[in-house]
Amino acid sequence: MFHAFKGGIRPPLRKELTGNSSLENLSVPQVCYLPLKQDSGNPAVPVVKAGDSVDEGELVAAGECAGSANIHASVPGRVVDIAGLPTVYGVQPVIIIEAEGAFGKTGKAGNTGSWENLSRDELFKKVRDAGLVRLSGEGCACDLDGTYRPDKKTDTLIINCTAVEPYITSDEILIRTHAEEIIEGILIALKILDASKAVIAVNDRNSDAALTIAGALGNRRSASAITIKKIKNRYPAGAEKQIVFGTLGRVIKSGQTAAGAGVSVHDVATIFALREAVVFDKPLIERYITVSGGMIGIPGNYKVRIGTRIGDIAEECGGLKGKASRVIIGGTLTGTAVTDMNIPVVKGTSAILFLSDGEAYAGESGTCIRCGRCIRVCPMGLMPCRIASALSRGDMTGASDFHPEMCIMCGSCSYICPAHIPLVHLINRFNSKDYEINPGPV
Amino acid sequence: MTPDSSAETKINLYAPHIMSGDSTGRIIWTVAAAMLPALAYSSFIHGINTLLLILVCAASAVAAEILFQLVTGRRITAADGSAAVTGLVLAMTLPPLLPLWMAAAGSCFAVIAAKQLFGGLGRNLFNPALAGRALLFVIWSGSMRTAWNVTSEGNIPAEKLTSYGIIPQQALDVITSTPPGEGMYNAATVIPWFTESFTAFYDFMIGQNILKALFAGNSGGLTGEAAVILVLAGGVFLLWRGVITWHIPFSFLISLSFASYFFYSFTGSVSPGFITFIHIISGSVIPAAFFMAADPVTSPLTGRGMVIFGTGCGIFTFIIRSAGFYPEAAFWAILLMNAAVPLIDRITKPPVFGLNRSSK
Repeated sequence: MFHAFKGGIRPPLRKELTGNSSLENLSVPQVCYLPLKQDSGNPAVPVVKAGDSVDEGELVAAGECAGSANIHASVPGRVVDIAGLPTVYGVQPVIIIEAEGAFGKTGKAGNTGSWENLSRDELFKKVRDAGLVRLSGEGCACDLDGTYRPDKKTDTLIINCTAVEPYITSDEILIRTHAEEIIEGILIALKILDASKAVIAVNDRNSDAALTIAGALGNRRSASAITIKKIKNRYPAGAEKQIVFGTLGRVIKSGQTAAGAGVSVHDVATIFALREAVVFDKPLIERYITVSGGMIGIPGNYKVRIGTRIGDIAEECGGLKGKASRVIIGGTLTGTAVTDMNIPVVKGTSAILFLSDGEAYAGESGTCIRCGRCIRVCPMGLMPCRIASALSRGDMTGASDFHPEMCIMCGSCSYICPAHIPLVHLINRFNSKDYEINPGPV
Repeated sequence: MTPDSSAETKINLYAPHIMSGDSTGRIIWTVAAAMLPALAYSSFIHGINTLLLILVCAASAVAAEILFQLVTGRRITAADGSAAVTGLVLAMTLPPLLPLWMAAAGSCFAVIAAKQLFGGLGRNLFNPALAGRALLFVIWSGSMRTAWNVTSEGNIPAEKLTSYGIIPQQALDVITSTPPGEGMYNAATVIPWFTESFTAFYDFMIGQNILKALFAGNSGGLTGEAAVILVLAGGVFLLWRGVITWHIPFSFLISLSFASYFFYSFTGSVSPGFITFIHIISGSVIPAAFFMAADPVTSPLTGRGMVIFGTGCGIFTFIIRSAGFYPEAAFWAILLMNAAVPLIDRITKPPVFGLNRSSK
């Protein structure tokens, strides 16, 4: 049984920059910037005010409701201010903490009590309290993606280990170095979800990862619920609908969530953090990120505190070799280009890429020659060029006939377009109703 | 400013931040490169007039585009190569000894009327080169049908035919007045004359090395069909570079083969396979399938649409040839199918992954 999604692209992965690095710790920031909105839910509500002293890992802002996560102090110290500052999610209130005092929790194992004896609810409370979100992509949901609901039955947990995003290697290295911990994390997640099986989706080109996981699975008796599934090496194999189809052959219908199809999809980093949250009661105050690109001095994978400014990270990673053509938070295909080096790392920041002129594309877009490449690569079976041409005529009804709402924003169409038309950007503008607020040409 | 012209100059700072190395210019120049071996060889065997014809076609297309864009105050886009390629494709479709001024006129018409007036690159409905050829053909059909090189080996020399003694005068006129191959695939007209000794005719054709001539290029014919083998190599090159996909050329050739084979089988031809083969390798079918039908601008967007388009081209080519007695039917078939592209695109939308049928 081999299900391959339609379309997809094979961009050069450029993983050689960081693929063999080990996981290094970066120093804790002197000043820590914690945006209140770090996930797709509502902003968290601050529970501290300027002047308060906070401990490392202390709750500073509480998740408002399901889908919005707690935020904890990444460093011990004093709250200087809560002020509006630019972040990767736009200008928003940011809790600024100046580091002082002892780093009590760093490196300590904490509570190592056995999680096997805890109930689902107790386990889930630990995850919520830790402020866990999805650690790659558009961050979201401390509640295991809405799948932990009594009325919804999740039967399968899928672990995204496809690693098809260019440059980003943190997941692969986590597997290489912490396979046992990730297996334990999967078992915890299975218990919380009350799911019967877990499938680890591995890139069919990445035999190292498959072997490491297989080895780790062999060491554990209780891991029989976990299987490995090889997925074709194509971007966006890790996207939710594509990975569910690729591993289970199950189609998530429009309007349906993965949970609705009985599946919960998570990435390796989230599972790793989930285990730390449960086993060590450790709040999510740090994460692994890939720092890469042609312009960074020492590319690698680093453990950084949430709230560290990207400029500080660049400096510690050997500085820049010159002016970066583009600085990207997240992956090259879906990430956000930033110019302000004071923007802090948030929970969903999987990578910071400093691309050289040769790596980043910055050119003009031309006219469509109807080559159909965007249609061939679209993993959703859309016709991006038709949507874009309708939009360029101002024909909103015509555009919606081509189902732009089904777009998953993977960026394959823009990547492949020989005329360099920003197709996914145009579709995003349409879907976010930007044309209604801000009419006018692309 | 129209919405499009502002889009053209906008620097793209949105995700994705990396792009495949492909660009419109690279695609178009790759097509030009793929045509060069065939055109160069054609110049070699047909002589200086053919070389000049190719150069005049390309140069006048570029000049016409620049002039049009200057006059209408548009951005000059000659560097993308599309005008030059239109000129080269047009040259492929012209007889090698055509007067140069006719070629220039066709080239200007192709670029201005068939492309720029539709809105420029990417917006034309008809293949510009074929539209140019169509115009030349209806105005100067005399020159368009006689400006051939009659070569010693490939063209069927009249005196040799008559020496067979079994060929009626009408058949002789048909065969000698037209490029090679033409007489052969018009079953309705020619085949009956050979019924008593088709084998003799077959032997004659083989004896005259018609196949070798068609492949090696000294068979006369249009500039672009000098050597089928080189044209085919260019097409394979385009396939390998991913500039075109297999859909259109393959469905074109396969449908033409099927139509021809079944027709000749059912009409009692002795050797339907041989005539089918002549159908494929003569009369500009190979250049038409790879360089004209597969033009992305004037063909459908999806793979399914392309197969419908290519199949239509093949079938119309056969109908026009066998019913209408016209060898370069492929060009007309493509123009016909160009007109059907908007319709094909409409009925071949790909299924959206996971979309509920009811919400369509």
